[in-house]
Amino acid sequence: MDKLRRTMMFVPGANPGMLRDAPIYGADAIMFDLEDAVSLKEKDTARMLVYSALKTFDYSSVETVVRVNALDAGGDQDIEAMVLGGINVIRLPKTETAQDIRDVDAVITAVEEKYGIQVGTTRMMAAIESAEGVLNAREIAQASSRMIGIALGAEDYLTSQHTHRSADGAELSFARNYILHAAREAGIAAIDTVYTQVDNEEGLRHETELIKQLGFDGKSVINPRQIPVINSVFAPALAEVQKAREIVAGLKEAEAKGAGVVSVNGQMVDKPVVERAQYTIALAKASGMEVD
Amino acid sequence: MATLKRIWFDLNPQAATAWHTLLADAGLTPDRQVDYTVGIFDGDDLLATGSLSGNIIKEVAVSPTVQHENLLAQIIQALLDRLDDEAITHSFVYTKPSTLKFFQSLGFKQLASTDSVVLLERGYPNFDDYTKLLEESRQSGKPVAAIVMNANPVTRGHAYLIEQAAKSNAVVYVFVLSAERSMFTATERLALVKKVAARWSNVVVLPTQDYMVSSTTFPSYFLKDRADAAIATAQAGLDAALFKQRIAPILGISRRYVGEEPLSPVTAIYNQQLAATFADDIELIVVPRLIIDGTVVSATRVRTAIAQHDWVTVERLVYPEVYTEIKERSTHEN
Amino acid sequence: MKINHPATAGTLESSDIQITLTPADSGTTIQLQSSVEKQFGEQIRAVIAATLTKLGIEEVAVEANDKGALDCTIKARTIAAAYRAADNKTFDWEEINAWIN
Repeated sequence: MDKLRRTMMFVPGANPGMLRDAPIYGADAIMFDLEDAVSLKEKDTARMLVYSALKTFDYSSVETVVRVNALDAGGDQDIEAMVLGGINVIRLPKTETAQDIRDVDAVITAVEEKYGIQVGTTRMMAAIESAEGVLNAREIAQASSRMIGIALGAEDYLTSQHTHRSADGAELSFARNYILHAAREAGIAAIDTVYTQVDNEEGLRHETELIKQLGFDGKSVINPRQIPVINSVFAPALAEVQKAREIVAGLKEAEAKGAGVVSVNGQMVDKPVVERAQYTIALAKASGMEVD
Repeated sequence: MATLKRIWFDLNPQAATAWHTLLADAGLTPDRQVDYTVGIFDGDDLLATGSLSGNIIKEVAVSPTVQHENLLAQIIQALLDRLDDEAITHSFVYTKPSTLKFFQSLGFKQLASTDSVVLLERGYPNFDDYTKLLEESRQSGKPVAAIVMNANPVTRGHAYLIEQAAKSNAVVYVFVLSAERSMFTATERLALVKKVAARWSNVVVLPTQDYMVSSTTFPSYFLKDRADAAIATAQAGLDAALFKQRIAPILGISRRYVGEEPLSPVTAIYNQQLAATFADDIELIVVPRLIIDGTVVSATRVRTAIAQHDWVTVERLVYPEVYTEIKERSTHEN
Repeated sequence: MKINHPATAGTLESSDIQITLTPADSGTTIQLQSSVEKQFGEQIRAVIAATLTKLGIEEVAVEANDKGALDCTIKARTIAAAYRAADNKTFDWEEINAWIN
């Protein structure tokens, strides 16, 4: 079953206090940032700091992601340090082509082999932040078996599109829908861009409702205050949970009987629907709803 | 959410106004003679600010409504980052005694203090390195005297002052100002003074490096009384304190020689302040100026003559070895 | 590892520690400024000293300005400052990973 990825919180890699506190805010994933949040001259110290944090703190309650630098800007060293530290997911920023992903995949494989880590342990995701990246999203999503998701990075993308964010998000509708299709085709997660106005809770809620309705799995987060808002929008409706429980009950019944087909209320249920029902129950649990 | 931004006075008049108001509210005097300024903003509200002028941290203030040390720490960190970007590893801050502890907690070390001002430094090379230099140059014998001079360039007047001290002391340390604000560079001035001082075997010539509080670098923005005399008093007091508290003990200095300056009120204040601070620990000896052709000899007179290519006058006011150097330097430049 | 020139790593922000390493003629000296000096001063010094030993640095003057850093941060800042002071641009992850915990 898919992991919950409602909220993926950015944590600046140069800030020891935030590295320590990151797991306590209730984000499903935390994303250590070695790229834009770290100034050029502090790349080395941030790399060492996040590595040391990974070796020390208990991050087992969250999925750990790291945004690395481009391979020609120290990304290879980032990857070695992070894989060795036991990171779950390497996120490549500004992904333009499937080759970008394959290049990073090769570096990860080399590091895993060097240190005797089972090849494939480290997963990957791609952030898409340009027109070229959006149009190549299908190939990017399928470029590596390590891929667990693709994320939209709207700030750079919209600059390259000669526009900027608006309240209704019309300027992002193509990129969002295209990335979502690419993710669904590849069977991986689709993560929406950050909402930069940290004080505007209404705006965040509105945008989260929109992307949830489109079908996104979650959203990147730049401030812990945004986490409960997004998580609450992703909480399933009671009727939805009820229906999911019935489907899972039907599944259990079918498994007990050794039947190959699941049926609920006399209707046959397809495998994707069963998986979605399991996901809904996980969401409900994560949202604090009683489901057992 | 509070964000830290650079303030460009020319590009953002609104921020510049907020900056003026914040400093005034904090009881400080806004002085735009700075190279770099940052502010922490909450929307349009300016909560804290700080500036750099060379390697001196200046104009640091936090809004009285949000007195929060962490904002101040962020400001200082941003300024230190800027210095780091410019490969400047050594910095200074002049501040009120009430904020001494705060700056110490950020790694600044106290150099000297008076009732109204504290001077701190941070980074390297620092006073420990200067101490090493002084210790290596230390000569034995008593009494020990000191003279501080800019020597831009060194004249027969300077030499006369050195001679007076050399005659009645076992050791004389001559400190030549290291600040680069003169016609002759610090290296040139130091080399020329060394040449002249070689006449006396008990004279040691040393650079002041950054350990001299000059009127050109002293930031007075935190003083309540903005009158020239009050500023000169505060600056001279701190300079005298630095000399007495830190430099004199290393070399065992018990006397300081200064040239008489009857026409300059600021220098008069300076000498008064030296005497007051030194009290009984260091004797201040004021030597009347050397007179040649009916006028006191000064470096200003020499520079004027150089500018007018009046080599006859230059030759009369400086020693031959200095004259040769100046003449040669002047020919090279033309 | 040899300290060629002074180098600094870390910031003065809360939970961090700023470490400056300067070449020395003999031995290791640690000058510590910390808000938690009384409770943790000895431990902070010990972590810095142990990290320097692991890096094979024996002659260095350390100036540390602590803002409540945890051990992993102290180690990370010490290692980063040492690599900078030694003009070594690439961390030897294999070696560091063998002893960091």
